[in-house]
Amino acid sequence: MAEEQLVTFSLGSEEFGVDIMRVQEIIRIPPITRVPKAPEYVEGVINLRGNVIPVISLRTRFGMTRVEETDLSRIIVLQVQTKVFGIRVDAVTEVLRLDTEGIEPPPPIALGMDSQFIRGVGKIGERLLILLELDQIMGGE
Amino acid sequence: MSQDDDKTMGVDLGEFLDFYLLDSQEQIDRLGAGLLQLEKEGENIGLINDLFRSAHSLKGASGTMGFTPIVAMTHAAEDLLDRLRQGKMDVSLEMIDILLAVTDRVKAMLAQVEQRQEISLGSEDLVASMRALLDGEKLIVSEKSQPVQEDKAEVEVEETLVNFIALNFSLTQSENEKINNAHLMGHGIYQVDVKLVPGTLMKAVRAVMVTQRLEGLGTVVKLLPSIEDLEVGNSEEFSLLVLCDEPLEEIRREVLEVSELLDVLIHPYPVGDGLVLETVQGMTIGAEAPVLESETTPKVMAEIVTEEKTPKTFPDQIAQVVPKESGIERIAPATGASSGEGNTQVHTIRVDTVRMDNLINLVGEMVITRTRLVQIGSDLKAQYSMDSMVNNLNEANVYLGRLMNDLQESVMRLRMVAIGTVFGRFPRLVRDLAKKTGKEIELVLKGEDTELDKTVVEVIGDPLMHLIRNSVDHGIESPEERRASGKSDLGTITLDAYHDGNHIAILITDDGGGLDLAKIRKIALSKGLVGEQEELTESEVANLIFLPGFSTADKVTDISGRGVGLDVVKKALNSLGGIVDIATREGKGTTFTIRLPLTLAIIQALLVEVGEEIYAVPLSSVLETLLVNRADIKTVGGLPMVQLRGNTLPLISLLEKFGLPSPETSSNEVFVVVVGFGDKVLGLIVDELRGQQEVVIKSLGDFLNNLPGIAGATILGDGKVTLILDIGSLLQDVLVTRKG
Repeated sequence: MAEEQLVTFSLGSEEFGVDIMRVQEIIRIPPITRVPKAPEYVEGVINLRGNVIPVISLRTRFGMTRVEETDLSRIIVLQVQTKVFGIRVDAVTEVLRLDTEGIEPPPPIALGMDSQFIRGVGKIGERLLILLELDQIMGGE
Repeated sequence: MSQDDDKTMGVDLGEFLDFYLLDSQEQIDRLGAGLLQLEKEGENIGLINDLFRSAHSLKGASGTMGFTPIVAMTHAAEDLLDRLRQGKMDVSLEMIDILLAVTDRVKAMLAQVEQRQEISLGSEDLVASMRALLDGEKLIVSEKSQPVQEDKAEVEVEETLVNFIALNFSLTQSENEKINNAHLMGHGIYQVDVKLVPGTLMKAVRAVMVTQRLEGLGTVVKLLPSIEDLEVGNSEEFSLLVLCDEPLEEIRREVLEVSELLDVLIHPYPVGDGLVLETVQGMTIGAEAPVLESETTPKVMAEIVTEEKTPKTFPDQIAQVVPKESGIERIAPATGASSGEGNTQVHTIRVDTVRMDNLINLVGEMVITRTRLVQIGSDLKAQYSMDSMVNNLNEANVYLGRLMNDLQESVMRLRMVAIGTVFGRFPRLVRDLAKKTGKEIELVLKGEDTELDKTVVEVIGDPLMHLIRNSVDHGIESPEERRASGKSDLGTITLDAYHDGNHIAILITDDGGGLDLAKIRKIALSKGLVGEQEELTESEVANLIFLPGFSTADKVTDISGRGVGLDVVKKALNSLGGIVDIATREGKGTTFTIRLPLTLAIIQALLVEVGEEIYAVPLSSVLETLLVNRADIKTVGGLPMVQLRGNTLPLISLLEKFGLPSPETSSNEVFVVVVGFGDKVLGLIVDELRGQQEVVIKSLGDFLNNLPGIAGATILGDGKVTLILDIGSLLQDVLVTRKG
């Protein structure tokens, strides 16, 4: 019985999950410095204890509209291979374990965003979690 | 057998692999450079001896590691070089070519080894060529056969009876049974005693190698002392109990294939019946490079000579090499071991680059923190100007400032590497290219001692190579053409590097035919890179060759002219924050000038406000600042400019360049920050000047580090990230593009 441990968060009404092993930390939103001529979904860079980290707006990346920042907005700092970057999310929900058997492959016509970002859909009771393909988030490098 | 497994009998050859790779790569480079020199100089006994030693130690080390293809080639090369140094053969172009080919092949094999792959490249062709040379030159071996140093410096010795002591191998029950069974079946049971050359390192490895060899012929029942004991102990000999049916000669020969064996005794092991007095004794001179040059003492047959040479194993040799930065951590103070190379010994340490980068980061953070202290100090002074404590604080700050400057400089120096390390591979390149194209070209190197930051040195190699190839292919003419224009047959390409104020200049000059500007213009026209009616200065036409897709070659040659070369060069140089420029004179030659900022991780910066954002401009590139009336800014050919002491200064509006929103109010006057290298200048239009500050350059990470105009980021005292401008790329845009 293989399991995955995920950090789940929400963008609007949809819930997502990322592999907990890739999550370095979760922080409130610090001042973000804009970077000119960067791809649209890159909001800018932040200072993370002396390191400069790019921050991606997942909403923009997935083609959703932007929203106002709230008290619950967070940046989840991820480490994928050697790259460290942050993703802005509306709220972080919880950490949970998901049975790998409960994961289904991404549906071909996915929820209005590029299916390249989805590696699967997990079911927990009534909840549907969209599992992100992290390698693709940062320009697919 | 091409490669032994990494884990054998509990000894991990993997550890030694890194040593081996480092050492071999240096030996091969030395061989390569030496061969080129030999080609130029012809006779040079000292040089030939050096080359012989390099080949010899390479062979020994490779043999220990079990890389047979490399051994085969270096062995033959060693033979060739040996003939050379004994005066029995002359240096010939053919020989140099073959030997250079060998260095290439070995390099390629080493690369495979580094990747932990099996060596798949062949060695037979080169070995055959070398053998042919050797045989063809069966030279003046005079009357009294001067015993030439045999293959493995092995000396045949008459068989002699020696005293044999049967060891107690402390066999277990099952091992005893094995022996007894073998004896019953009539198999041969031998004790193989091996003595190592005194001072041999990696004794355990030798034992493993011998064991492996013997396993190929029979079965090894026991090794005494054990591998573990050999590794930690001082014993320089070991014995094996072996079951084998091969003739003694065969066994001896196999074992002697392992280097650094002083003495091998094989004796039937007494089991039950008495001793059989048949022994074979083999002698091997430790396969090490002879330290002294007077090494021609012939070994006369029938003499038992135990050679005890100073073993120069390759870990020793690592110790005396000048440091190269590598991922390997090894502290090896240079010993005084003379190698006949006549280099002054430099006391050096190899340091892991990761540690160095950590150190530099920490110093960087200290710089930032110190800046904050200064700020706090001056704030306090403003409020409590009479307080003596505040004054003490500020005094201490000043002193701290001086210390920080010194510390910074020293740490920055750590990263500096002489550009000569990059220049090193070019003589070979030019030689090969010249041959290929049938031209005669000489490469002159100057300024090899000029130091650059290591990150720059790593990246600059390829662009330089491209430009040199370009000079060989398009710059220097064929000997016939040169003669026709009254030039000497030999063309010259000169590489020069020097510090020039706030930057480094690297020049690649050729005395060829110069750029054909008319042809360039025509081609650019045909490719739609430039308009028919456009007026271009000579330098602008020349710079067209940097545009992507440009190529003057009628056919794609192997060397260059694929239409990809030069714009890649420009991009690479821009990524280093530098610029490249061309000067050419028809019939006389062309010069490419590369200018690179002295990249340091901590720089002085001028903070400027553009719209609502703040940017940092490296102060070293700032030439002056001006206050300019908007009305004085004119537009020429689409580019804004302003008059500055009689010259036109091209301007860039950072607001526009970065697509920033314009502020609601804008004044009549703007600040212009004049930046540039040498005579290439540019003015940046900004809204406010915010003062000067020391900043630490932080990388923007893999993802964002290619943005035009942005060199990196820094974190100011308030914790916000501020972007640092890339003056080089801004300048390059102005130099080459036509429209703003």
